[in-house]
Amino acid sequence: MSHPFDPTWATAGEIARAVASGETTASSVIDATLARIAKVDRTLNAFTEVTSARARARAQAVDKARAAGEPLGPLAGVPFGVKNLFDIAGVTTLAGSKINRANPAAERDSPLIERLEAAGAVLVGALNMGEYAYDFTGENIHDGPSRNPHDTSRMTGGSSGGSGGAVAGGLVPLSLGSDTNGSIRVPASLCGLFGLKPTYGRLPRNGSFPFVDSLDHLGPLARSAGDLALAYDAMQGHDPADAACLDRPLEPVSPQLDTGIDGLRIAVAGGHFQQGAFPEALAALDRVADALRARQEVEIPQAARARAAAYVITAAEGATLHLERLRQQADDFDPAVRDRLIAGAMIPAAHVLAAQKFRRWYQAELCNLFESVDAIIAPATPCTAPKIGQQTFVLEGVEMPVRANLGIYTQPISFIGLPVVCVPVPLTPLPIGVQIIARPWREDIALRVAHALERDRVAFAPRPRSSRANPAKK
Amino acid sequence: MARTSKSPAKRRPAPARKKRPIKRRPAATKPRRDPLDDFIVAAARALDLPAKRPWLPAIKANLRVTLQHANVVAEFRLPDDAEPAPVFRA
Repeated sequence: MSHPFDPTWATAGEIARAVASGETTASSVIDATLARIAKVDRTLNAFTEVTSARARARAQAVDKARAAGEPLGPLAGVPFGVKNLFDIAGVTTLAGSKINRANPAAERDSPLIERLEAAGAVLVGALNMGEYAYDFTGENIHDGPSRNPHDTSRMTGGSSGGSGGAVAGGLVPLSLGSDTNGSIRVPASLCGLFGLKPTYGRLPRNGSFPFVDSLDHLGPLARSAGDLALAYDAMQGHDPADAACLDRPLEPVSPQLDTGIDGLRIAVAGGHFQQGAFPEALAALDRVADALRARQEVEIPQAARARAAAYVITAAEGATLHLERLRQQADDFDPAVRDRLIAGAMIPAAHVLAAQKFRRWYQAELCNLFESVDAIIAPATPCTAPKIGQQTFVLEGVEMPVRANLGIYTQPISFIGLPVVCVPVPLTPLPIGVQIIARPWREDIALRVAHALERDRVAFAPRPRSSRANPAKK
Repeated sequence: MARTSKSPAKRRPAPARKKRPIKRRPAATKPRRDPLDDFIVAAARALDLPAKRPWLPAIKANLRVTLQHANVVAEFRLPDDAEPAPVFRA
């Protein structure tokens, strides 16, 4: 007797194939997903809104289309959640804040939600995040912290904390997050997931609440590189409503994933990217480097200065965005965010312009570097998931705030918009991520490397021990 | 009557006194004011931002870190014709 299809730990690709083949229905998948969210999210605190009625209606439409013999999309029946800074029609876009709760509901979905649903995926809700995305921890003073499924006393990382917790905890196989300085890659690293931050300007950001226009990116998190590629392919395309989104031809990656990595020149980032790293971060980097036979070490020039420049631009632009809210409703902010924003408002303009000038210099230097390599690998975070509430950690003998420094290795990369895939290395007791960095517009290279590492079981998304020890909890 | 002064020869020499350390009043020192404190107060006023007194230490700590990062960037010399990253296209 065959068992009914269980979507809990299935990949998005497996769910879509099962729906397309009739092994299961989209409605069954969504019912199981909603039941699991109701049960498990009391602990993980990943969701801030569950859109049950909408999800059931959407799933029925997918099933109806199949019954009518219509072609199904590559994500047919795949449940997904979005960080609560994405617009969802009929839902107020919180962006992790208390202040935005007074705003009217969004009138339409973000273009990325529309594109995923056009491919057959089913939105099941909005996900917890750090307030206004100014965060690397996944903690939220208004909604409570997102909890890491591998150890619920630990951080998910942020600011896309719920996007990490929901996928790592088996609530959904796919989520969307945003990444200004590392907010997709940090939770992917701490939760043991694959995360894609595409090239700056690849995916449209309209219909999402901004943070730092110069640095904001949107992208997916998943438990497999193949699922990242499926989602990324479905979301590509120009949208003139985002001034930074370039009009480029669609470049689907899924068909190329299995082409392998022969001939790719892959190097390891030295210098800044290994300073301050805890032993587990270096162990993961070594494991990936060995598997890829990456023997060459390259120095990304002025990476620490790039991180400093990203820090300055973030502080100043973030403060500019929130200036009026700070004047009118300062007491309604998370104090940790408020005080950073107020300080950011006081940065002299000369410093911000200098950082933007440095950004262009740094971009030219890295483009030169990518003449001699196709991909660079680097740690994603300096350590595995810290405890929730942990304020500081020690980097290179200096006690530093966790909130501002979990992204020391991600910031110099997003600063110039390079495409990156964070791959999970399943260390014990906690996973940690490694960044696969490619030159602009070559997401395909980063995804092919990630897929090869997954195929060879060097990188994969481990199931939380609690779910392995007690299958009944699935 | 004119007073007659005692002959100095008849005066007994004073017993040798133990030298006492000179007590000096501590000079009135004003606590040194960090210019960053003044800057924050002035900037908050100029920007019409509500920087309440209990918030000031955290604002200052954040501003100090950001300025340190800004100085790291400023130390890097770029040519005068270096363009900032976002360039407006008409």
